[in-house]
Formats: sequence, C-alpha cells, structure tokens
Amino acid sequence: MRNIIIKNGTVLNPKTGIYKKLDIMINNGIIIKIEHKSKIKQNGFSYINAKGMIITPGFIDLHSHLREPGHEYKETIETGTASAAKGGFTTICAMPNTNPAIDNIRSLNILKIAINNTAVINVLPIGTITKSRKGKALSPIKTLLNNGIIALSDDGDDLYNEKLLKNALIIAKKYGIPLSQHCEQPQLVKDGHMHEGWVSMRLGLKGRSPEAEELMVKRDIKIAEEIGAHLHIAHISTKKSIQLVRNAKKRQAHITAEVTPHHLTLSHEDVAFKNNNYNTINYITNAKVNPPLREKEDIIACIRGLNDNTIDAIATDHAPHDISEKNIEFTKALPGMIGFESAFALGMDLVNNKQISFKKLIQKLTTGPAVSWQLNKIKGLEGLGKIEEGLQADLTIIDKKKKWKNLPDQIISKGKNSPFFGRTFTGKVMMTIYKGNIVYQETNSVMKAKE
Amino acid sequence: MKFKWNHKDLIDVDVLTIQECDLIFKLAKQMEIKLKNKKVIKETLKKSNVFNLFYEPSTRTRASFELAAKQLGANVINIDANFSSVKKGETLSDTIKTISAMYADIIILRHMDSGAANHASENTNKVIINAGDGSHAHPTQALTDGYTMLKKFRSLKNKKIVMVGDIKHSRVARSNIWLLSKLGAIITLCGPSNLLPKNSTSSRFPKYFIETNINVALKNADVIMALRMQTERQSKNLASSLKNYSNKYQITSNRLLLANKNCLLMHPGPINEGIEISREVANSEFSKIEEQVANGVVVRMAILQLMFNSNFKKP
Repeated sequence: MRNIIIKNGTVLNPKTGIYKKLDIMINNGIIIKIEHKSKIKQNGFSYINAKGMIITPGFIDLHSHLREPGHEYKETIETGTASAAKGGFTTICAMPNTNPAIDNIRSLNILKIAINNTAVINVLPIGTITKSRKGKALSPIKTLLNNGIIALSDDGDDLYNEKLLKNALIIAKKYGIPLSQHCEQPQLVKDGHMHEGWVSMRLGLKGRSPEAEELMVKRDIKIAEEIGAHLHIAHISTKKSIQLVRNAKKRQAHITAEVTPHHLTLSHEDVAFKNNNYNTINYITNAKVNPPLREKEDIIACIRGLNDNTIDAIATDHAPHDISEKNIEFTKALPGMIGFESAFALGMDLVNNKQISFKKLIQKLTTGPAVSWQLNKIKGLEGLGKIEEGLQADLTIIDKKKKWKNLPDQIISKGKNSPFFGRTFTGKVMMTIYKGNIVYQETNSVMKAKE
Repeated sequence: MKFKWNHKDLIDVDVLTIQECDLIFKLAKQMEIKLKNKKVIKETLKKSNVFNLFYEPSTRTRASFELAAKQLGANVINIDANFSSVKKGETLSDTIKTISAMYADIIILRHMDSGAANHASENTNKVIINAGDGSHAHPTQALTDGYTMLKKFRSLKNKKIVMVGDIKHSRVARSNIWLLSKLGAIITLCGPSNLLPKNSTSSRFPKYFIETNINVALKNADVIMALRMQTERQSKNLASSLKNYSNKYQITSNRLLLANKNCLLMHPGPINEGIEISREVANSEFSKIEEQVANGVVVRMAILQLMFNSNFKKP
C-alpha cells in the first residue's frame, strides 16, 4: 500500500514549529501533494482519516542497539526495527557493539544483508572507532565509510587513548562524519554499578561518579575543538557535562549531544525505591544503565539543555537484554534498558508537566537528530525530519490525548528490560509510515486505512 | 512472651521499628539467661530446617547461626558454596529455589554481592536472613552490637559512637549506622577520607558526622567501633599501606584516653592483628570483642525465633 491519502490531520513542521490542517498524498512512497482540504479523488489510493491526530516527520534515533549479528537472543534487526516502528521511529542508527563488531567490511556486509532482508524501517550503521572496540588500533574507517557507515563510535566503552582519539577525529573530520563518544573515564567507573551518591552508599554499591563523565567530556571537547572535528556526546547525563557542551557551542566548536528519555525522567533513587516508598530498598536491575541515572538537579539540567538547544537530540540508547541477564544479582546484571516503545511517551510526560513544549519534543526526535548529524546530506536521506512534496514519506501519526498503560506483554522488542512498566502515559504513536508503507498501526485505533 | 512480628525476611535493620529492636533485645536477654542456666529451649524451632548458605568464608557468623539454630532445636544444613553446584555455574536464584524445595524454613545467606539477600528474597517465599551481603548490610551483627552496648548503657540516647576504619566497604558500619541512630546515638565516622562515605546529602539516610582526625573523633566517645580493613573489597592502594593506616588510625592505649573513661571498645571481627587495634588494648578491660561473639549467639537465637514465628502473610 504505497499510495495513501492522509486526510483531516494536523501537520507539524518541526523546523518552523507551525501547525497546519493539511492532507498528505503519497504515491509510490513519495509525498506528491500537501494541501488543505484536498479534493483529489484517486483510484488505487487508500484513505486514512487522521482527524484529531498530529502528523510529524518519522522519528530518528541516533543511538540504538539491535544486537544483530551475534546476540540474536536479545534482539534482531527484525524485532528491533518493529519495536522502533511502534515507537514512531522510521530511521535508527545502530551501534556497532555486535559480535563480530562492525569494525571491518565483512561484518558490515553481514549487517547490511540482515537490514536489507528484515528491517521494516531505515537502519543506518555506525562503525567502530577501534578494532573490536578495544581502544588499541583504529578500524579501517575509510573502507567502512565507503560502504555506508554514517558515524563512528566505540559505544559502551570510552575511547580512552588520546592519540587514537585524535587520529580518529582527524579522519572523521576529513570525511565529515560525527564521532560519538560514551564519556566515562574507565578507571574511575571500574566496578561501579550506579551513580555515586547517597543511594549507592545506602545500597553498598560501588559508584560511578559524575566527575568520570565530566572529565571525559572536557577532554574530548578539547581534542575535537583543536582539530575542528565533529564530536557527539552520547547519552549526556550530568549538569556539569551539559554546561561544558553549552560553553563549547558558544565558542562555535562542532560539538553535539544527545540525551536519553531515562536520563530525562529517572534519578538514582529509582534504582532503589519503588513508588516513592523510601522505607524499603530494592536493587532494580532494570534501572541499571551506563551512564547511570543521576540526581534531580541533573535531570533539571538535561531538560534545560533541551530547551536551550545545548542538547540536540533525544536518543533512546535502546539496549535489550535477555531476562537471564537482568534477573540476577545487581552487580552481575548487565547495564541498559529498552527504549523505543516508551521514548515518545516519556517525552510526553515532560510535555504534560510543562517542562518542554510539544514542538520541542518533536524537534528533538526529528530535525534535531537529522541536522546535528547532517544526515540530510547523505544521498537518499534528504527527506529525514521533513514533510515536503517530492520527499520520501516517513511519517509518524500521534494522538496526544491517548491514555495507555505500559505493560511488558505488549512490548514488541525481545528485551523486556524496562523500569517503566506499569506506568500510565498520555500520548501515543498511532501509526508509523515508512516509505509510504504502514509499518506500525495501533490495534485499537479508529484511524483505519480504507480503500 | 507474646509478640507481633510481620517481617518475611531480615535483610537489614532499616525496616525495623524501635519497638521491634527492643523486642529482639528482650528475647535475647531471656535466651541468655536460659543458656546460662542450661535450661532446655529446644522446642522453639523443633523440626524446622535451617539452611546456612555461605558464599563467603566465615567462622564466627556461620558458627554463631548454627549454634543458635541448634540450641532452638532446628536441623541445620550447612552449604559452602565453594564446594557446591555453584561451582558448576548454578545461579543464586536457582540455588535458592532448590533449597526452598528441600523443606527449608529459614535460609541464612552470606554473599559477596550487595543486594544478594534482596535478590534471594524475590525468588522464594521462605524466610531469608541476611548474614552479610557485599558492602550492603549485616543486620544480625548490628543487632549484636546494639545488644552489647545496651548491656552496658541503659539507653543509647545521645551516646557518642565513633566508627573507625573502612566505613565505605563495611556492611557492619552501614547496618550499625541505621540501628544506632534509630536508638538515639550520635554517630561519628573516622578514617582515611577515601574509605569514608561522602557527606550525606539526603534526609533519607541517617545523619552522621565525618572526622578524619582520630584524635578529634575519639574525644568523649562512649563507644569505639573499630572496623576491619576489608582488603578483599578495597580497590588496590586505597589505604596507602596497612602500616601507614595503623600509625594514623590504630586504637592505642594513648588514644583510648581521649574517650570517656567507661567507654566500650568493639570490633566485629575478624581482627587484623595489630592493625585496627593495638594488641594491649584488644586484651584490655575496655574490649568487648569476646563478649560480642557470645552475644551474637543469643541475639541470633532471638531473631530465629521471631522469624520462624512470623505472621507475615504470603501474598
């Protein structure tokens, strides 16, 4: 069904922030007409009545873990992209910490074949900076670039070796791609399982200090700024790191940053306490994540960073794990949580609490990531973050008022590791369209495509 | 004696009310008297099965629990995880489920990971008693320490208690901070700054004072608790060297003079000889170290009795 007319919806252009009641006509995956109260009757087109809905460009995620190849028991390209589609995403960037890692042409080709065969949305591969993400020798970056990677990252590990980082940034600059860094000084966070603070003290767990992140953000900005390369700070989480990025941006350094939905909404207290019950402690492995959930003032700083555009994008860091990797002792549990299917709803929590505007939320899920990584410059991706005639029809249709409960049995991702189950959200993705195809549709929606 | 006890497990003292702590101390006192008079008390846990599941080496805690359970008439099964299926890769939750299926009534767990007792509790409806988990909690030791202090002082209200040493890695310190502050004591933590917690920033954790100078910290102390240097839990080179540590923080007879003259000197054991406490002080009249061991048995008897008869309603 590549020929669709979406009628009666409200289109939000995130770039201008303007809402307009517009009908959208899609032919062969391309938006061919956008007009008010379209009169066109066409045979062979199906109609979607989007009355009361908001239509935005398809969401873009700069940071996700699809686990294929190598960890298919956690997630596959197929299940991961289906989960992302449910969350409203039409383009996601896949981190290279697979097995084998995306550090050579062979594993990149394996990944690309899997994407071609099973992905329901657009997946953009990220290549490793160093071989096997070991931080010892650079990957064949040029070859990887010529074969379709769009960014570099050793995510999960910080590239600690300054000499290698410098060389990698020089290459990244030459080819005009971002280098995304997980910023936590490795020695300082060794054996650390959560944010270092009163909760880690109470639980008797070794902490990961905010300084460990800030040191690396500071160092990496300095190195990148001198080279003039594009450094992207992955999942920024502390007040001081955000200030460092803010200052760098004022100096016109090419630094961008993303924040996750969980760092915008949870604190280290959520590792130990359920429902504000401070009398009973828990060790909630689903809230174990790197960088760790921080303090209330850090959450406020993250929100402020979105509002003043210090932070360019909301990225999920979708990190599915098998239940056997989470239902164990906290110290043995693997870090990370799934993110695709709750990202927009968590953003809506901020909107409903009047902490950010709806336009800002959509911007940080669409134009923010597209522009910060200059994805529109890549051939075939010109339409990312846009709704315009002549461009690819990647659309997300939203019901801002829809109330729903987040339950594990409704999760499409193979991973059920989320600290957000049981929550009631207001605001839901009702339909996701990628290249003119409906790749996700809310089952109980009144909005049905009709021939 | 009638009592109400609604806890499923004893994972830490933080959840206990002052009344519940008092109840434990009262029961422990009764146990102590009965033990001294060689009275038979084997009815209390008769025909019950108590499993000692120990993932870390332990002499006194394990023996203390075993003796306490046997005094109350329980069957005691000791499992040393180093010689069990754990070595074959069995997970903690599977081990807990296996033991639960063997008609266990109470599982006493010692584990090197913080939170292990919580995790165990989530995987069984049997009683879990935490015998120490990582750096998190050691409730029976804290209750033993509280009992030992209360045998000397009628109340701990406004008593100055100084904990010296590796607080950061100490489960004994954490549980004692909870218990003793509940009982009204004022707590000072002393040691090298890298072995101390940060200043508490939350009202949700008991208040404590931090003093890195031992000569200041010990002034007018009512109780000095020296803690073991936990070389197995510390990152390397935390205390620049044990010798340096003992120079700066060892409880010596000279330093003891700074404290109140009827002060108690305690140590949860095992002692690193001549490190935390000088040999002469360890054997002095102030030292309650051996009494702590004896009290550990009766306090654990009280806890076993309460837990075995808990009114906790299974959900």
